[in-house]
Amino acid sequence: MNPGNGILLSVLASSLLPGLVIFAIAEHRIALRTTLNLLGAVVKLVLVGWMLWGVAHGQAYELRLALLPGLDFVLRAGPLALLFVTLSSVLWLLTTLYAIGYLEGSPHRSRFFGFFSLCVTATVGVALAGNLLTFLLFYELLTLSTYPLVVHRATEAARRAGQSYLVYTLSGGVLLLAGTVWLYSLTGTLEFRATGFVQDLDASHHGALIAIFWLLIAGVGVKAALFPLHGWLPQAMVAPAPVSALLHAVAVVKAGAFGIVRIVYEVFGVEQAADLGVTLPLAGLAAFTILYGSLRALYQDDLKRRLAFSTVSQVSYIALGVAIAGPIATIGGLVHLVHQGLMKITLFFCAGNLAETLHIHRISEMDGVGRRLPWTMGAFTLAAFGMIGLPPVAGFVSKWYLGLGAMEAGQDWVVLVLAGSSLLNAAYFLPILHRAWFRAPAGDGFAAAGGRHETGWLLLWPPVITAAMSLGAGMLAFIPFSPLEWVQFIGRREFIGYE
Amino acid sequence: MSELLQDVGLWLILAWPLLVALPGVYRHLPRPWLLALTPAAVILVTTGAAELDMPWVVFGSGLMLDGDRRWLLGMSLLLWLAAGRQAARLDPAQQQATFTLLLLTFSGQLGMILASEPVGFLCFSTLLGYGFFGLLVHGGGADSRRVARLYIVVLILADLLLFEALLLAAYMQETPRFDDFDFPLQGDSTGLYAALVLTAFLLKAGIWPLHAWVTGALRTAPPPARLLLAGGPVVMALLGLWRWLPAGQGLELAGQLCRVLGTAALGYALAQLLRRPQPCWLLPALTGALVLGFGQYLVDPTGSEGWIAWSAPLLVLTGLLPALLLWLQSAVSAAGLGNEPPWAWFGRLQPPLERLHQRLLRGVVSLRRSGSAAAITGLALPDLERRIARWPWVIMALALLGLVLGLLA
Repeated sequence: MNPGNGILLSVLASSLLPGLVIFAIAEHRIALRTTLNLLGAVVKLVLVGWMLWGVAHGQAYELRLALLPGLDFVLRAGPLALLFVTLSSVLWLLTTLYAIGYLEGSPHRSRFFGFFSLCVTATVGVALAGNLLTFLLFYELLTLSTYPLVVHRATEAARRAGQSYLVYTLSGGVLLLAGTVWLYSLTGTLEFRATGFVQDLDASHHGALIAIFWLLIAGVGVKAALFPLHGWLPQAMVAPAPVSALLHAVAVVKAGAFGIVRIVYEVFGVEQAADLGVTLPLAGLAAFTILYGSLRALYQDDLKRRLAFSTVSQVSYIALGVAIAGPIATIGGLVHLVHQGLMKITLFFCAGNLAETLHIHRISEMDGVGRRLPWTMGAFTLAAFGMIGLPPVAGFVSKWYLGLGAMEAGQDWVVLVLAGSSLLNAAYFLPILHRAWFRAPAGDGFAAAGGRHETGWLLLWPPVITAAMSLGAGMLAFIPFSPLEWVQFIGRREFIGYE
Repeated sequence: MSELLQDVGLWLILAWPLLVALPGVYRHLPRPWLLALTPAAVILVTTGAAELDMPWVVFGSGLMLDGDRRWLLGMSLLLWLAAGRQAARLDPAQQQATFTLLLLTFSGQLGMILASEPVGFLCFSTLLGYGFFGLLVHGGGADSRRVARLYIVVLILADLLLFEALLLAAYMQETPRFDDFDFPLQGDSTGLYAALVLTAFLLKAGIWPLHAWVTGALRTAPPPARLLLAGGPVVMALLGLWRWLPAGQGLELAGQLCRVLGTAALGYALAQLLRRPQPCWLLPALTGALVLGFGQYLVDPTGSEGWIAWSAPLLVLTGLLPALLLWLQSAVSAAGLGNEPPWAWFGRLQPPLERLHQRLLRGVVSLRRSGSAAAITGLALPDLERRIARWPWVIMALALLGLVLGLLA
């Protein structure tokens, strides 16, 4: 263990320890709880910044602890892992701020923030996992720590959604475990490697490898909401807005999508996966999910459900980029991991503001809401434009690299899928914007603003900041340490031979 | 002017109107609609040529001011003055949102004029498009909103086609960046690129037979949007054709298609002008003429050099003339000089032309019932427009398919 490796444990501990302490804090100790939450989030951000700088300058971070004979608990901070860790850490800080404002005065906040911190710990663990076993451990911890957040409101609908979430994700976990055990029995290792670790197996194992690939993909595909494993996601929308943001942008679906990246590139290796003939069906499945999610989103009147189906569609861009198996498309897929997170968390924050400030949950109730909440709806508009792929918002950059990568890989049909998806995105986002900005409010309009701001600043600033980040990630795509530049750094350094 | 000041000035031309568009800023400025155009006016007056490279913005953007761009910048300022004056007369409840949308449109237009590479052009084109959509919807009646729906369909389709065209171009150039992007394009897909670009910009320019949104907007949109329509979305789309399809790339087929469409559009608009002398038909006529000229330029670049040198003034004329007529119309009615606009003499040609029209049709079509004459003459053009307005998706999809297949063939 080299001297810098304590930082890996510190990154995990910066959310784990505050989380454990918060569980023990009495409900009325608001200041202490808030301080711990924010302190943990800021410390994590600083540590991640430190690691980013180190990795960019060639530093390696690895922590290895023996768990079982031949099986280690491994944490490793490579460029790919840090992409996800940075996204989670930045968005965790903003989501924590938002959640503090959102849950003001509501019961069981210590429980909520305790599990919230555990959830982020698990997500960071998923990102830093250096082998499939460590990945699996944190992946399951993520499932267990998110369940109490989904059922937080303790209503009948929340309990049903929680049950559905558990059934889906634990089933996914079982499939992932089965695939992992089967793979270990064949290879004798679970260590992630840049070119995968299954190449040495001879052709007689191809059938088994294909089965393992689909077991693993099904396992992570549940959280990535790949069709037909997406059913839990729209149901989980009964959870409070910060939890929705966490599920869609920071932790759960992102962990699934990140798992697909790991499995294709670092378990199987992209060449071996292509030889096994599994990448094209995966691309087809992702493309179908993209169009299916968008079509389902069109018919939802509940705002959060529409956003949930939009996530089903958008997260599959990541899987699509990876499955195309070319360097530029992979950049498109990986950068969308960040871009989709920024845009989608903005949309959920805004949906939360509408619910919290004006008790609006349905799109049909949104007439004229832009006049009452101009900043919130301004942020929503920017994020929606990004989702459609309009330049220069971040979504445009993702779609650009996906389209270009698909053409480079000779998969021209993907360009048509992207075009169709953009059309559908426009069809389900633009009517919302039209209602909000150009329709007159129903009845006597919304109540006048209570103060200087349209809503509490803890609810207002997070979506404004993430919307600005969505714009910045697109407009300033080529500045150092931008998501695109970092992904290109991954491409050059890790696995895709991109120059 | 020092280079640094020029760079800052070019930035401010775009950034300042966007900043003023924020309601919080707008409310605290005296005469914000005049202040918004100050940087553009100063640069226009004080700077001959300037260039700003921004390799870290989007995919390597740049801004440029040269002779042609100065013409267009001047046009933009004049139109903004007129539209801003119109908007200042609106009631205060409508004024602020109208100004915000106007400023977004204005900034998009200026960006399209100054952009020196295609991705920047597309970004600002999007800003102009959605800003203008807002202008059509905000404060407009039911008819204007109907036109806006048609326009948004056009906008989304055209932007998608431009995105695909850019992808193709980047693929052919083997670079995802545009700061080193240059024509001519190398590759087998140049024809497809031309088809996509042509279809997109002709949709945005509202060329016949997809002109329903243009004529509709000129009839029904709120006054500031009507003034901006020609110089904004339409002329900027034609500018896109000029910028994205330079001659000398073996695009003769695209040029011939432009000539056919331009001639048809010109003929159709002139026929309509003779039948119903309204200013709304002037713009499709001018658009048709410019597309015809552009087609000629693509077919025979060397023979059209003289003509193409006049492209910027002609674009400016196309942007200003319809706005001038609309302004005259409103000035005449505001001054109480009667209901007869200055071009009413033109209308006196109408009855004999109508009779000639019907006689010609009777000569061609055999009619069983006398009442059918009116029906057949009405097959004419308004019906076609109504149908297009009713089935925009189908008609446009067919038109797109036809254009793309035609060029691919």
